[in-house]
Amino acid sequence: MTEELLKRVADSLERIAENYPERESIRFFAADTDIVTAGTSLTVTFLLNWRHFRIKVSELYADARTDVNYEWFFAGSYYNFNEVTFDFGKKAVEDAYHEIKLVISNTGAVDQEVGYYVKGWAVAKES
Amino acid sequence: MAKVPKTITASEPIEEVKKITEPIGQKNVAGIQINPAIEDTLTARVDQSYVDNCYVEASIVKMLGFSGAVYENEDTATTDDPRRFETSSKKLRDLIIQVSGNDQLFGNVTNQRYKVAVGEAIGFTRVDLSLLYFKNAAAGQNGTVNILGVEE
Repeated sequence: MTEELLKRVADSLERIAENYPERESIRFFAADTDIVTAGTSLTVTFLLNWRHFRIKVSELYADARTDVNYEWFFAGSYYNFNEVTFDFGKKAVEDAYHEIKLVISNTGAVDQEVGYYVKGWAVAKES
Repeated sequence: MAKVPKTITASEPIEEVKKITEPIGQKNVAGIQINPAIEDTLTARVDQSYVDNCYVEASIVKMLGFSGAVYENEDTATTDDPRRFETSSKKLRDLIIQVSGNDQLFGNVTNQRYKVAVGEAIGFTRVDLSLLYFKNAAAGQNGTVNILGVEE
């Protein structure tokens, strides 16, 4: 019984370790603001430093603006929202998708200032 | 913006940010249309398409030699001999012929046997008018032939 309980605790800790930042994790918050000219789309590509970090992304965010559409491409997935949240973090795939792409399209006739960020945590790989 | 952004630093796990601005209408990395273009852009495209079509149409018309000019004429018989509107080639794309006065017979240079009675009309397309002959259906009964057509 005790061994079984310990195993369950260990499994839980393992899941927590996998899904939550560790003590040594680096919390990152990469953000910027741009003016998206009317009738244009701004493609922002975040290149992930996956060679040196194990990266988990918890939030993809862009300001909601009138007549502006948003598309996030991350880890082989596509999100047609201005804001995407991953409660347990989404792991950055360490291959061809080692980047996050945000496409902000301003279909309106007025320039829009849009703030955006990528938020998450990372653990430095042992070299 | 609800959350204030900060400047990206090189030491973070995101090592680089690239930005590209393009006109809407470009396709995204998945090859999908990013979103509908703005109205002005669409209008411009439609206009350009219209211009292109007009150009193609004009080119085809030029190749086919269709002028669109209206041809009209009238001929009243004075004898029973076959007659025609044109002695040299005059190609019509469409034509309507109406007979008045007395019945007339239509055909080619050799025979005129197709009868069109007074008040009746016939129409056909793509003919060289110099090859269309007509004459009185009955000797001495002079008739009139009216024609309205569109030149090639």
